[in-house]
Amino acid sequence: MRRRSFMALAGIALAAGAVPLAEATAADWPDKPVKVIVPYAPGGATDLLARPWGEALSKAFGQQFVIENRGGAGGMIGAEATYKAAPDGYTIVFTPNAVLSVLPQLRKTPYDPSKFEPIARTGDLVTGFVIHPSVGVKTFQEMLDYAKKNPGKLTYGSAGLGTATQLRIEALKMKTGVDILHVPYRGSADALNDLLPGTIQMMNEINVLPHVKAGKLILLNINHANRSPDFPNVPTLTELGIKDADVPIWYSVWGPPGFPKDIALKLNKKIIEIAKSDDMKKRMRDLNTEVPIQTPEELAAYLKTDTARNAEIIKAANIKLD
Amino acid sequence: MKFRAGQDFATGMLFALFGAAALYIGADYSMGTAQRPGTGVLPHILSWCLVVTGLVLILQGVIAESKVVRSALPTILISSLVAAALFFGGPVIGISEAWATLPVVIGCLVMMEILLPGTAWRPLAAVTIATVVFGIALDDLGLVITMILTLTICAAGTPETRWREYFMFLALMLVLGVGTFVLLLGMPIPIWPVRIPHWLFFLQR
Amino acid sequence: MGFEETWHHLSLGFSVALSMQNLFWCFIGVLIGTAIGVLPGVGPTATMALLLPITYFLTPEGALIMLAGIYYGAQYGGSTTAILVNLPGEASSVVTALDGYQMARQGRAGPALAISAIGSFFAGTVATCAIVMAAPPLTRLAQQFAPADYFSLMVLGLVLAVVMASGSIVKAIGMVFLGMLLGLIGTDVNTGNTRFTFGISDLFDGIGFVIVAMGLFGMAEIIKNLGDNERRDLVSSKVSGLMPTREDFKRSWPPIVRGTFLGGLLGILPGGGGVLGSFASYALEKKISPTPEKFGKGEIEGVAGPESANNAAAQTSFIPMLTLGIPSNAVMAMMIGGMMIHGIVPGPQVMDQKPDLFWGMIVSMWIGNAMLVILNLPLIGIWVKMLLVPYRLLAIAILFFCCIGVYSLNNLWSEVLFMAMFGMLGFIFVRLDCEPAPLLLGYLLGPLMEVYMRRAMLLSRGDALVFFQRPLSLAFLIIAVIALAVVIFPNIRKAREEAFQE
Repeated sequence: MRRRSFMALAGIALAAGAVPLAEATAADWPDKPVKVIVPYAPGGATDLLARPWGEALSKAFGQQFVIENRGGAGGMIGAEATYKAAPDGYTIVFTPNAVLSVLPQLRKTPYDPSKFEPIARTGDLVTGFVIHPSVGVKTFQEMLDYAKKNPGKLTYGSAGLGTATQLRIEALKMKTGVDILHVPYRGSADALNDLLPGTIQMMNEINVLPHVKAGKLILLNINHANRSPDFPNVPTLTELGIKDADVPIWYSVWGPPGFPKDIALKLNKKIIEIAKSDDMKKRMRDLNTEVPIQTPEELAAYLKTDTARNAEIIKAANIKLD
Repeated sequence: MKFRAGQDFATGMLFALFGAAALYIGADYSMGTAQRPGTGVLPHILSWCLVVTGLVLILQGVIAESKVVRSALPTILISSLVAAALFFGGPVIGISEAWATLPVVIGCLVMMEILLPGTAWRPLAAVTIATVVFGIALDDLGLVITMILTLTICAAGTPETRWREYFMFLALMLVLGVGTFVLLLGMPIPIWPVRIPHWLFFLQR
Repeated sequence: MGFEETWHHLSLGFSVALSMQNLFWCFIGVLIGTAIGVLPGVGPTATMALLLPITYFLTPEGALIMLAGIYYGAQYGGSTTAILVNLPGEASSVVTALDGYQMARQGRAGPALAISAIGSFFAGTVATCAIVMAAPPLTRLAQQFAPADYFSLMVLGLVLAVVMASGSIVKAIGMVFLGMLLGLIGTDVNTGNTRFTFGISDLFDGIGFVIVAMGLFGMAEIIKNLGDNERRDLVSSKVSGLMPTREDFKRSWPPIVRGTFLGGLLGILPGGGGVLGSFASYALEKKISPTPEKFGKGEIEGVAGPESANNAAAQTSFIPMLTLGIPSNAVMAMMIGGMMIHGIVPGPQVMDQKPDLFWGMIVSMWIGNAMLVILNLPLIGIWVKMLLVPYRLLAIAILFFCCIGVYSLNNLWSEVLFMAMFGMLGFIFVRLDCEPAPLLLGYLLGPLMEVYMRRAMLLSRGDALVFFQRPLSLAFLIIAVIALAVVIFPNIRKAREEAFQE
């Protein structure tokens, strides 16, 4: 008797296991490790931001959120991998906005950025234009005056063609009419190497901030809605009167097309909860990042405005690849 | 060196061919300005340098031993003719002009055999095919099957292989391979077959 | 820096580095590093990436000490495969393979490995001292380099690649050009255009160095050996001693000293100077040697110098990272990642704000080197025994490790295919008597040279004279011309003599 019912139960269990579940339901998600694709090499800026989040999410959900680095082609490879992954709720991508709102406007990408399923915002970089002391200017206005008097003399290093850091200088040039020479580098570390001895004079990245604190460079402004807590005396671009020249560099999490919306919402709520915690705030501050709160719908809308704004800059500055 | 002249001549042809190909492929790359040298500047310069170096070597080879040219000439002529035919006539028939590279490659291999006899074709084929098989099989057929295929093809590349000894070795390698790379290092490689690869289509039902 | 200050720093460093915990992590690091250095393909960067999450659970000092240990441990391991089976795993081991492998074929793998380890240890010690005593001034020295200077340095490096060649100079020059062209495959960073990629997205970032090296060196060697009917087994029947002879030591110590300084200086340059260290040392030793024609056939100077150079460069490449937070290469970028995970922001303030971490790490680098020598010397016996495995089986094993090593990089089967193509090409080169080393150097330096040329031209607003106006740049270019002339003129004279004789 017992044996037969046991066999029946076993049979049902086997049958249930053999039928693949189409997707997990939000209630029991996650019930196995989640893959977080980072479309850049380990140790890079995106990777460094993703790891505290991966750790925090693993703790919060009791399941491993595993970072998988798929670097290459400026972020395209990892984004493509996520785009083509199964929308079962177990693959997401942690990416800077450039991959979604800048790159697709410059080259043909194997993914449609508007089809990714929005999940949550995970951080905005808080930094601003820095200038080498050898130029002799100390404030943002002085820099603008100098640039207007000496067109083409100041040089600015970006992390590369088509990166958000290039867009920042192009936006500035567009809004203020100054002529600053843009020099593309291979990453922000490469640019910092030339900034320190004064070979180039300006940059806009987070890796320069320790040198500002050490007094080697001068921070002129903050490219963000709020001032940075580490530099309370440095004004934002908006305060300086230059509106809409801000090019935010922001990170977010997305799922492949068809990602279950209820799981996205669940993840979004948890991310917001973690972002409000003191521990996460401190870790983000160490990385010069602030985390704005948005729902998935707001995130999708934000991407649209970001894309439109970047399109304007790209057109005005005539940035072209291929 | 025994075949010095032949080697110089063949190397020269190799360089010249590569250089010419690079020139052709890179013809559209923009040159930019003095302040912003474009994409094509260095490839262009290098391609020409390579072609010139190749020509010098061809000359060296011919001067040392003019017989060399005579033995290679028929091969060069035939493969260039076939390549040109495919290149210009290909699109007319409906096949891509890239097929022109095939007679070039075959011509090169034939020329090498003529100029430098005694090339070890068996190990070359075996090792190359073994590696290619590894690449195309690993994702679909899993580590175990792929290892068996690759290692055995490689073993077939030399007459020295003693098969009994080899199979024991294979077993050891399988254990080592799976153990180190998948179990120990956690590489995302399937151990057992996952699906039938498209190149084994005849096995699909 | 005053003597007292240095003493204070050192004692702080030792107290941190000699703690049981940190000693343990140092040992684990160098052990793992050696292991992956020996395995072709899997490199220190990939391993550090794998272990990065684990470092969460360690103290910052422990984490960084372990990561650093993996890095220079891999240098030691990489030389091992370069010497034993002609498989250079890293750019810096390419040169070691030239004479080291030949020494192994002559039954002298033991002395080659031993001198390599000892030379590396000496270099590591000197480099660590340099860091302790002169990190800030060395950093300032490195900061003097502008893009134009880097360009000329790369040009010098390319000329050295030709100088290094033991065969026909014209062929070597051609190989350098070909290598440079191959290095250009991929995306042009300055404009975003892709070159020579035929639209294949796997080629957008170019063909990885490991793939080219394993194909040209490793696979080609296997094919050649399998086809060689007269081949004696890798180790000739009498293996002459595992340890270097007194003669070996006498001949090695000057190259070791020279290599240390060359590599140590070049390693400070964040822009890629480290890779030049071993090549420069090899070229130097060949020029100074009374028997330059023997280079490439198993001269111990050709192992002693480059090995010391590349270990010195590995140590000094920490300097820009430690003092300024600028990574000199991908591994340093990992280290920065490791620091940031522990909330330590790299930059000039690390030295003052976290002295125990800073000095502890530096001292542990020396300790790690000591551990590596102690680890590696006895291992030599085991390695040499491994060579006694019949080649028909060894070749298969090597091929397998190459394949899976390449696959482990990016999980792309296309890269395995590329390796196969390079294997075929490498074998053709062997038949044509063309040396692969200059090609590899061209491949490494070509793209770098282009980046610096364009940057220099951009900054000088199109003025090409900038390369001659900066003193450093001019100096490098002059040395390059001299080196080239010294190599070409004897050849022209020789060719003339040969022509006359006919």
